[in-house]
Amino acid sequence: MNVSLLSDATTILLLATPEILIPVILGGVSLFLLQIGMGQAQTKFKLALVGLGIVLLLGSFAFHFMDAAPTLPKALQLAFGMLSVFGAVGLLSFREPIHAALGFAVAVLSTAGIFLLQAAPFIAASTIIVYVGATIIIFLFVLMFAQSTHPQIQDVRLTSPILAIFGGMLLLLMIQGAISTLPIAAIPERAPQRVVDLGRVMYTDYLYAVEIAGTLLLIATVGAISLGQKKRVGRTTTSASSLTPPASQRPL
Amino acid sequence: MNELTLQALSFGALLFVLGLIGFLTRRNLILMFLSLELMLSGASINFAAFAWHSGNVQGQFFVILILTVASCEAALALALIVSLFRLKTTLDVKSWTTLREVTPNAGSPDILVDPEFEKFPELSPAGRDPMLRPAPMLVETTKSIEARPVRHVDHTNSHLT
Repeated sequence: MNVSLLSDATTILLLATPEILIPVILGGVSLFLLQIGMGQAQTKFKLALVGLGIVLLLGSFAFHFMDAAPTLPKALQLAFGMLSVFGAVGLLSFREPIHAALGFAVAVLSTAGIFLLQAAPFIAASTIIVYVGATIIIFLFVLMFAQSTHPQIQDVRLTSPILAIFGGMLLLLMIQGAISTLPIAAIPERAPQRVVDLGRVMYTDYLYAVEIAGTLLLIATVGAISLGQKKRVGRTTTSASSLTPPASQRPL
Repeated sequence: MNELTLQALSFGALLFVLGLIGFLTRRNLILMFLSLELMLSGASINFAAFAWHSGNVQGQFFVILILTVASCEAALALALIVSLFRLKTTLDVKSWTTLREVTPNAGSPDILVDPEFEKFPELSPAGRDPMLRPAPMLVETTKSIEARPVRHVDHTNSHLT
């Protein structure tokens, strides 16, 4: 088995072993049950059981790599990964949008733990700062300002879960099949990667990319300000529009 | 490839697929964008894992680039969501289906076949027809309007709904 199999998706599908096929099928079916159960009056206990089952099923791919020699980094990464899958399943299936956004925060925080174990401490810190410190807070702010207290129709009824879960699970089957065909080697002994090296690479090899990213940030700032401004309609019109004010208009 | 890298690749694939399913199924605009960010973080795990596997920091730089693009995208998406929420007070994506192409027999009127569709466009009301109202009421409303202070009337919603 070599990496050239990655190019042939159908070969990967034919190569899928039962220990990949069974979690994918069961995980897809229970994810479908979970998303269907959101709209119906079922007990939260049942739904939570189904969700935990999904997390365990989908995390069983990573359990394979624990067989040969369980070490502390592998166990830690397994814990962080299971936590992030739990948060992702929460994002998919919580009925309240606030809870779903908090599930996303859990997923991204555990992603930072995986970065730490992949010898990328700077990436872990910046993920926590950018995602959890800025993005999640702003999204939660907008959610609380826009969302009413009880779940709306769009939080309960979903767009074609069968098609989406089928396609997603097919993709997962192919990726996990490709990963399982890769040869397993021992963990190499390397010096830890330093932030100094990262900075040197940023400002020598990828200087243009850094400049373009800065320009992108500037353009996004300008765009966000100009999109977010409230349009001033009716300030310059004649009194024709104010002749028949709507009944619901409140005095300013 | 060592087992730690393979485990990280497996979790990256899981996060990407779960984010994809979330983007396709959730109908709340904000949760759709959060699913998109989850897909991006799944890809970032792959970049970091391959960077450690190959023993250099090039992959970590790409994660920084992904973070930059994700924050730009989040800012623009939030501005769009806020301005969409001002027009129709809902976060539902299904309320914006009029923006897409009209497909025949898909719940929307078929403009290519239906002759009933050819009628005059409906304009928003501006001013009023003097023939439809009696004269005393007109004088009265004009007086009451003159007595009232001039107010700013926001017609954003009445124009577009």
